[in-house]
Amino acid sequence: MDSKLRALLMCTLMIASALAGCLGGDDDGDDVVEILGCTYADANNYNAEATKDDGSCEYDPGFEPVDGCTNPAATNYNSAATRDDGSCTMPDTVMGCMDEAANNFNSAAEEDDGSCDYGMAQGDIMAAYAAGDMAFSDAWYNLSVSRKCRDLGTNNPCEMTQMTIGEADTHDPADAYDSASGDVISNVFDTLYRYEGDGDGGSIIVPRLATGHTVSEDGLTYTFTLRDDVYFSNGDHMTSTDAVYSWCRVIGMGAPSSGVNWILTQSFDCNDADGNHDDMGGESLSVIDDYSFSVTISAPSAAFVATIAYTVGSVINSQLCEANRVIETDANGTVTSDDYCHEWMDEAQVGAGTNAYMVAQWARGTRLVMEPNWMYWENADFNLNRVVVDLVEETQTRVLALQDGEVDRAYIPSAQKTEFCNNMEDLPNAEGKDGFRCTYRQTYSVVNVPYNFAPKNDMADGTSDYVLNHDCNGNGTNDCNVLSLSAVRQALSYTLDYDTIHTESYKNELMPIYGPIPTGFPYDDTQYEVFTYDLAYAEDILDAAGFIRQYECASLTQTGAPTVVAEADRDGTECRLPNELRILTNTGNDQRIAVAQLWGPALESIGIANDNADQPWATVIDNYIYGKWDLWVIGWGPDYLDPDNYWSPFAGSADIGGDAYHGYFENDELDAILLDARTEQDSDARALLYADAYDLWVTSPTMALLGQYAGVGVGSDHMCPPSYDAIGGDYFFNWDKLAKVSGSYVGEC
Amino acid sequence: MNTSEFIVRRILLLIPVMIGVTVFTFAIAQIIPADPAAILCGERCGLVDPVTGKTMLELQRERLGLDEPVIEQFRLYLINLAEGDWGESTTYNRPTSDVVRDAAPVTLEMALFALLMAYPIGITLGILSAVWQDQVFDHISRFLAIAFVSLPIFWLAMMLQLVFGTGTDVGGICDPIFGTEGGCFPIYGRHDAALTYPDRSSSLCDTAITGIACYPSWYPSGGTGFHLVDSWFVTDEALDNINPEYASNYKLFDDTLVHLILPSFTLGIASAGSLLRYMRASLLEVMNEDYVRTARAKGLSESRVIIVHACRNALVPILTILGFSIGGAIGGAVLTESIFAFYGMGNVAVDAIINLDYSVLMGVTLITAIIFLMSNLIVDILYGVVDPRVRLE
Repeated sequence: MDSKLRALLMCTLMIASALAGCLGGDDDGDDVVEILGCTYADANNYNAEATKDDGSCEYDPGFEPVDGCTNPAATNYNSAATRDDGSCTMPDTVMGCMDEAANNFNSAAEEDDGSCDYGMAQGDIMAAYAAGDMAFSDAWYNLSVSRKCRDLGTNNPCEMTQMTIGEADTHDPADAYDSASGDVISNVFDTLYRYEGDGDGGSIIVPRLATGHTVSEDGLTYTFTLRDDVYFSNGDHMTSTDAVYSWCRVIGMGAPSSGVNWILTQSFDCNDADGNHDDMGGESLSVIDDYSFSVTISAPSAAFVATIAYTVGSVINSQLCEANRVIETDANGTVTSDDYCHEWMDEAQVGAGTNAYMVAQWARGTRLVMEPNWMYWENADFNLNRVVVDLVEETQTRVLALQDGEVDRAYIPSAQKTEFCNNMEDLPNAEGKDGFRCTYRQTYSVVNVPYNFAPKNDMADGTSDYVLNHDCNGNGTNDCNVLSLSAVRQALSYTLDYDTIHTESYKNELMPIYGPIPTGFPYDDTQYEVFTYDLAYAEDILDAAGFIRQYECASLTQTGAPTVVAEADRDGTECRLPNELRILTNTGNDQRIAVAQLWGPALESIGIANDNADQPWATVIDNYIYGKWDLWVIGWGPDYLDPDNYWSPFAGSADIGGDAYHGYFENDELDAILLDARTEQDSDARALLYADAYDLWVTSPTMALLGQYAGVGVGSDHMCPPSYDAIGGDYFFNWDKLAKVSGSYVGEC
Repeated sequence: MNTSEFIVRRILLLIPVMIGVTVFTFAIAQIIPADPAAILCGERCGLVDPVTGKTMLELQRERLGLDEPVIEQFRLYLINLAEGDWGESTTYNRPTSDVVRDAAPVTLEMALFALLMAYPIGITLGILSAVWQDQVFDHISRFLAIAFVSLPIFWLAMMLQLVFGTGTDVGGICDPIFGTEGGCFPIYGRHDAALTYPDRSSSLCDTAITGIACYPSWYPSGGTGFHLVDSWFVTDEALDNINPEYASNYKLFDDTLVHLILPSFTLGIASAGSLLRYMRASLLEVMNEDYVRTARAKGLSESRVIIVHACRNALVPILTILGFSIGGAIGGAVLTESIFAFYGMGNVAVDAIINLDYSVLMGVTLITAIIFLMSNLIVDILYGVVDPRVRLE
């Protein structure tokens, strides 16, 4: 074996040695022959076969080469050199623009030398456009180069995708009353003023298209001055004519689908006297010059500026609207129909608005895409070049997409927030899980229980009529309903277990509210806690008012006619009120149903029979319309940032434009105070009026106020929101998205 | 009666059926004890318009024509329908014909693609199951058939989303296997969020704004709504204006296709299960027929006997199911559309019911009825193709 191995090794060495001899190169150079000559191709006597320059090159006079370093990046760069002599000395680092998003990005650069070019400054472009020195298309292009979001990352940091459940009814601010429409409109159109967060959970009104306003001494005439640097997204200059046109259009069109026009019509009319729809403005509105106009309102109103800050007060492009307005006339030239350009405005076409974004696509029921209006007046760059809003009804799909990072934002209902937040059972101390932010915050949505002073019901004879079960006049016949009595309503307000409703029925997503004005709203400090859960006190009130336990509970119906138990036979289980109270709640709203189920037994315990069964929403609305309810667990969201938007509908009578629930309450003294507060311009005086109104209201409440929604907002922690505001729009211009580079996010919110 | 006469006669039969459907739907809408105007204005119904002095409810009732007598409402509806006016949707504030036009292709595309997946799966497994009767494959197939039919659509859809549509940190399995990021398939929508699809809702297709017509002049303006088809006909100019990632017909088509896979699989899997069972039973029955025995006696190969002689005859009952499958797929699309955020007829119908949007409700019912009738007409014609004994002449 060993001999065989040795033989094999020897053979291998012999073969290798032989091959080494065959394959080895001859490196002594004896056979190489150098050819001397001129090796520079630009010389007259260039020799293509020469392998070594012998210095014999000849040039025409004046064309002699200058040897030196020709590389501009070299430290010894010779700008006069025409022929590189190989002497270049390169610096240790390559300087240049290192920002990939810049127009002159140098991929070889190792150190940024501050030379990055991001296009012309926004102010310079707009100045050139305003002076007529730059065409719209050029201005648009230059602005896009200058203002675009330039962040780079693997997560499309300049694009935001969000999932929602509600779609805009329309993008026309003149007929939009839903929050989904408002979110789009507040990004496409601008108002003279708008609502924003104050950074402390509350809301303020800030100027936008207006630079300011003055009010006449009688409080009737408002004169607004406008910014002079605002352009629509098609390049048209915005002037006061557009503002006047926009407001009068709202009134002329009449918001046929939504009825939102009431927010403006409560203050002024456009007096379109001859019906030709051309005299926009009429006597109420006057264009003073390009950047100022005045409006005369029908009665002084401290809420007026707040009302025009609602999206219905948006300024649209009057020229484009007129160009797309469809007016039909009959043979006599009388206008038979006028769409006020609604069909065109419905999709918020390019050029319609002045705000930061335009609608690039609206695939109804599916997707909305918004892209920047580069002409937008605010002096800042865009953080988001594209915003996609996807409509996804299925909760689990939204949850998965947000968890998976497929979207940046999504509407997450309470039950699913535990997927993203810890400590949800310990609100307000919820904390976001890894990658998410959970923020406890208040809203201005109020849960309330209006009392129906004049309920109706289907009577035995098949008609529907008022339930008259009390003798208010003392004339021996029933002429009113027990709910019209202050004592009964006061007692009812003490029968609600507010704490349990907050913590159990609403799982801590409801904050206490003491009066009509929610916390965070102006003048919220004019209220204090009065109504608590105190059944004994409620019984005392009823006893004092004569509502003793006397009726056989089993005999009670919704229409009355109860059996009175003989005094000697009473055992303390009898009922106090002569009929069964109907607590209206809608099927599907588990929280409201939970309130009714908690309240029902409490009422029974003090002798108030009730029916707290929930009903389908359609039936609820039907009962409401026809007055067939006694107590209704419902919610209210504000339209505009003024306490009158709560006080009047909650406590004012129909005479002053209140009574939103048709509860038929009437309190002349309270009405007078509310009217004064509505018109009072002095804030201190106004605060005193609301304090007076509150003191009066608690003696004769029109409703029970259960609380103010305060939910946990869920968001990805790479999304940076603007200051939270519970009433304003979702302004995309103020959002930012952190870039993800190499698997982690750059910077922080 | 020849084929063309047969088709014309069947199409003419649509008219009385449509009238019947319309009357029936309108009657049901009237029976519902709720007021669509009240649904629209909700808790604000009581607010009074300061100009007209009317409540929001009264104004809405006037706008919807609900203040007219029922008979008059129906008469006006029929007249308008005959003139091509399907009414105005109160839910979407746009013509019902537009709503249905947008929604119908979404559902049909998904349903047809679902059947395209279901039929090969069901028929192939059914044939193999019959051929290998009572063997292991047969037992597994029959188990699968039961499973396919029994799985609740919503559960299956969510499982598919989780397993095939998400990254490993959420529960997906694709990323380590296929090297994907965030799963193999998108979990919702018809298109990627980075893509502004060049359909009629895209401003890049608006010649007044961008100067671009997204489809050739001979093609329906704004496309057909069937994006698998439309993606091939988008003009180069339109593609120049969308995200470069999708700037080719192929990539547009690919994007549509990838988004269709999970929803269509969800929708089609139950049909596949049924088809498997039907095909197996049908083939087993046919295999005992005399002509199959004759074919074998002639010395034909077993595969030829099965594919050419047995399968063709076994397919006749399967065709019968096709007509119902299309209807079933449209019906089943409600849940699938909701989970995968496809805005088709299912979602539209649900919204219409919730909002008592009679106009849309009747529009969707009419379209669904037409699809049912047309699919059954096609099936009747196909009978003749598959089975020479069922010629129309």
